[in-house]
Amino acid sequence: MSNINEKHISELRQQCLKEIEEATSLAELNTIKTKYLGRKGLIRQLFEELPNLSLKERREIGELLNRTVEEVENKLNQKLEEFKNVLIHKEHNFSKLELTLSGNKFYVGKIHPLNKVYYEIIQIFLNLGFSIEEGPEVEKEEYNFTLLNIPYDHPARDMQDTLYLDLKDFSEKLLLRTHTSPVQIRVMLSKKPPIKSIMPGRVYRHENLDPSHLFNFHQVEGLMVDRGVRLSDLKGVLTYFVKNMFGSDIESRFRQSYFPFTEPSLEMDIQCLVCKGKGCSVCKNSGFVEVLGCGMVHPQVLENVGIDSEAYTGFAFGLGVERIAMLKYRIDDIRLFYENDYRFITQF
Amino acid sequence: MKLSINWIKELLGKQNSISDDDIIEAIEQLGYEVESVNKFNKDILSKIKVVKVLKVEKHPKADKLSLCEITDGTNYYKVVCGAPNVYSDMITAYAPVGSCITGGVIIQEKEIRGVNSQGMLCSAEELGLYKESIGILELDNSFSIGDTLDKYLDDTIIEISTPANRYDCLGHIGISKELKIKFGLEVIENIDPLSYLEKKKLPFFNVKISSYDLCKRYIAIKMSSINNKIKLPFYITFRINSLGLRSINPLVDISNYIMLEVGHSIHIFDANKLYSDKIIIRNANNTEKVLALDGKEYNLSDDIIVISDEQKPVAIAGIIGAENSCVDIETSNILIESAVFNRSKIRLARKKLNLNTEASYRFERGSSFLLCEIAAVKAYQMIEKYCGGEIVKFADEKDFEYYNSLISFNTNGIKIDLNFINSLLGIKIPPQKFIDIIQNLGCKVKFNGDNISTTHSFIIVPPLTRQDIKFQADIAEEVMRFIGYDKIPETLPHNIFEVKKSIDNFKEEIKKVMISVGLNEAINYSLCSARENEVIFNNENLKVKVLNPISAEYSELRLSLLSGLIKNLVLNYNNQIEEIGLFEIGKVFYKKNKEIIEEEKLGIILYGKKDLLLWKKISLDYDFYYAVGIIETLFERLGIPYLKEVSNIKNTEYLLPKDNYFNNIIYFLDYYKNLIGLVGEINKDMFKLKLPKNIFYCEVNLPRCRELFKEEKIFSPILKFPPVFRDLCVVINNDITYPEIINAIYSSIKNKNLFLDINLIDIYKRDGLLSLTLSLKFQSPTKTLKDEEVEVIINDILQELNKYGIQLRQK
Repeated sequence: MSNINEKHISELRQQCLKEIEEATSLAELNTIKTKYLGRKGLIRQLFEELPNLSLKERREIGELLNRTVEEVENKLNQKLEEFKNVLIHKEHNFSKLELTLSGNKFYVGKIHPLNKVYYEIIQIFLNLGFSIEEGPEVEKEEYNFTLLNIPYDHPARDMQDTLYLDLKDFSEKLLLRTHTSPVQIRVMLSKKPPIKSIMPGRVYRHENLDPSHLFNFHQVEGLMVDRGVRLSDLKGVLTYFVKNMFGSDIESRFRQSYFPFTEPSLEMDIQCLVCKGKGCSVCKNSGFVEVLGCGMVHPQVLENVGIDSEAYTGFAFGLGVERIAMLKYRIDDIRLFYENDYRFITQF
Repeated sequence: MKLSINWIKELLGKQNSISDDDIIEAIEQLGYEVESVNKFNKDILSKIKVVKVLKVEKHPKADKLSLCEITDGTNYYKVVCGAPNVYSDMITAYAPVGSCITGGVIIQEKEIRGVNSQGMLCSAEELGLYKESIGILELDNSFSIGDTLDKYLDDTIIEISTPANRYDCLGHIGISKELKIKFGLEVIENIDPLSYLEKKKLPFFNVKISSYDLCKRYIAIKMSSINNKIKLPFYITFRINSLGLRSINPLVDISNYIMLEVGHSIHIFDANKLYSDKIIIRNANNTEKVLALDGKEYNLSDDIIVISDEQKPVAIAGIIGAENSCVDIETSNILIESAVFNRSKIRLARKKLNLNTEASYRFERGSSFLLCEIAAVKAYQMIEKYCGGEIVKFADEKDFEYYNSLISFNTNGIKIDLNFINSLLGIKIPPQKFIDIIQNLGCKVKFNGDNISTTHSFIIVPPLTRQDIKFQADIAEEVMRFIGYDKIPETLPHNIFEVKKSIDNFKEEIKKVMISVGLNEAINYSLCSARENEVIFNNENLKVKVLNPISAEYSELRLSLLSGLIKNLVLNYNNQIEEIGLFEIGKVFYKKNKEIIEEEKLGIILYGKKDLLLWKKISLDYDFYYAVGIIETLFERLGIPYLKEVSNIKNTEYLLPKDNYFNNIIYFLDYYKNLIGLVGEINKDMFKLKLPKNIFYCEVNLPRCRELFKEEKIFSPILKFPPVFRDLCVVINNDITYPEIINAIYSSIKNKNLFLDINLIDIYKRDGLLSLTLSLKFQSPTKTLKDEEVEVIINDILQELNKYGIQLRQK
């Protein structure tokens, strides 16, 4: 009795495909291949019986056998690929630990915190259309004091407050500027209104170093002179500044103050950043901290630089960059800015 | 300056009943910074009783304690008391058993050295009123026995700082006047207070002012038959004590009380201790010394003003009196001084002597002629009232020329256009409101037309006390203080968004390079010591010294960024930081042709081991080529071509370090042979540094580089044809720099459209000769280069190199 009939082939096919499907290793797959398709394989040996069949049967069964072999081979190859992929994956991939090791980090340097704040301040005013003006740090007494309406007996002019230079062969008395306001004078002397500028720079005072004093620090001053510049414009510009600098929900207020070069003179406070206005030791329980001084340019100052104080008005303001940085980062010792201690400068 | 809110309320008129909080808020809005607010503790005071001491006996077992019998009018108690000032019949403060004193201490009935004490007699400090009490609180007849203390002592003490130009507001009267205007209360000016004394035609007291530059006015009032043993009313000494001064004796207390009230400081001398009836106001001698009332001796100098009799200084003007002329309880004849001193001289003396007093605080802010008179008049009135006596001599020396100038200035007045003020402020002030405020300030207002509400031009004459009001802007400020700055809207100027020059791109670009190569930014002081400036060649001619330095450590403007960066390096090294790479962009300062030059530089310091990947053990020490590489990277990024020079160029236009401060140094020049930078290995011995590894310093001349900086980039077509690579190994037996070799190669290329990129990939030293292997990359914009074409180019290169004695290395 010949085994070669459609039913038998179909059974073998199904059995083989099932075994392939259930195979769990490459070796198992090879065994299955030999078992069915090897020289003495269960499917392969059926071909040897084909000559015993009638021509018609031979053609039909032969075709069926060929199709079955092809199908089984395809299935085998497909399964083989799968196993290979898994294997390759296993050989080439990292373990969980390896995958989570730290990478090749690059050390990118840091910009000094003071300069970060400095640029932030400058950028806000640039956005408002202010231009940047700079001037020398070694300055004439006339520009630093006299033209700014600072009287001859004002404490700021004392040797105890201002650093003067020892220049015996120079005709003029020079000093290290105590504020960037002389740049305002230089701008007003060289340009006609409208003027809308900020004056960033380093300034000097005769101060011993302690947690809240330095003999050199940085300021950003601003000046706007034009027809019809109002105190309300000053309030608007500075409110825009503090909201951009410290957050749009920050509250601010203006207080009466006194500076020889502005009239009216004001000081601007912002809500204490530490206690959010509730009152704490930083703001001495007032809920507010001082951020800057400002005012309307004193008519005498405008006249001193040849600007008609009845036709033109202006506002000016000045802020200490170190102070703003200290408020922003809650730094309690101003000297840290100039020590360049890695434990400090790499924090920002 | 301390203020009593009760005293202010009294001056405002008690009937007005304005709350403490309203007063404090108004003071702040008027431009006085409120530094602290201290309210007396009602919880404590409401339990403390006014009692009378009936009997005082010594404690049987303790010398310093007393046994006191006291009464609150209904009950009698026995208490043990340690205060030295207790006496029988004294009216004082009693903390009964169960009450609480400051610090949360609850009073209990207890035995003290074997004697039972039913409560405690209290000092002012124990009641939280003021510090520095000498014993228990002494009350007077204005207190009813049995009452609790809170009925009498209910006050808030605030401390404020006053603006430098408001010498009229240094006392309770000045501040109250400001508040009256703020609250719309009536202001009454005290005009011509001295007239009464002037009319009396008293004998003249001899006052000699040596120069009106020292003192503009000196009022002297001599009184005789004073009794300084009396007791002043409780409220006077209490106010003095609670405002931070100390009650001493009636005459001293009166002078302090007047200072606190009027804001003008007066002094009282014991006239019997003066050499004669003559006072001289003069500069001190450099040899003079004064034993002051604070018990300390001060060495005077000729820039300090003294009040002197014909023999000796009796006071340091405007600051403190001398021990030799002070009033005591035996004093019977006195001289009252009320004067106007030169404020800047007072301030200088105060700083020089390091002697801050209530008097100096006021005088250095200035003083007014009017308050000087008011203080003098109040002084003799108060002394007459409490200590008796009579005025026997009088003098009022003043600088009439100055006085007349004050008066005439004020009569001219200030022209005011309310429209101008409104447009200056960005607000509309109704004319009537404007006039009300100005008149309350004591200004006289004149205007044209009949209808106030439509008038906008005025003439305003400010009062004598307000010399600071001179311009329309001053009036604008005064009006705003009383209206409040919160009433001004926030607007933006009309041309606000007009875009101008932006941030400095040159410096931004440098900083980007610096941080991307891993350097941190440093900022150093621009002042340094003489020793730190030694690093610069020819430094004595260049140095800019400070005339009045803070200390020797910061006595000169820096000539180089190096000294600051070295300091930073040492600090971080001492903190166990193993890799230090810092850069600073900052100015150096030097003298040139009688001018001070401020020049910006970039400085870089490198030290230690740079870890690239720790666990792969990839790291390298900063070395010479790392430092050079940073500068080359920077120049390439800035688009600045450079040459290198090894010989020591003495370029007068550039601050060069001295040769011996560096071991190896290389200079970078631009194509015009200007020095644009340098890199060197620091000679650690010269800086006395004990660090194990090498330190490298780089410096870049920023003004020159800024001129060369190419900000604008123009697109060049992308090269489509493949590059060809050739390695060239050459032996150099000539004294030549690497950039010279590279330039020679470039100059040999005949086809100027050909792109060539050169990289050094190996160096090799044999028999003292250096061989370099260069990797060349050729690329044509128009075609794929053929081997033969490349061979021709290579030949051209070798021919050019031959001129410099450079040949292919023989295999």
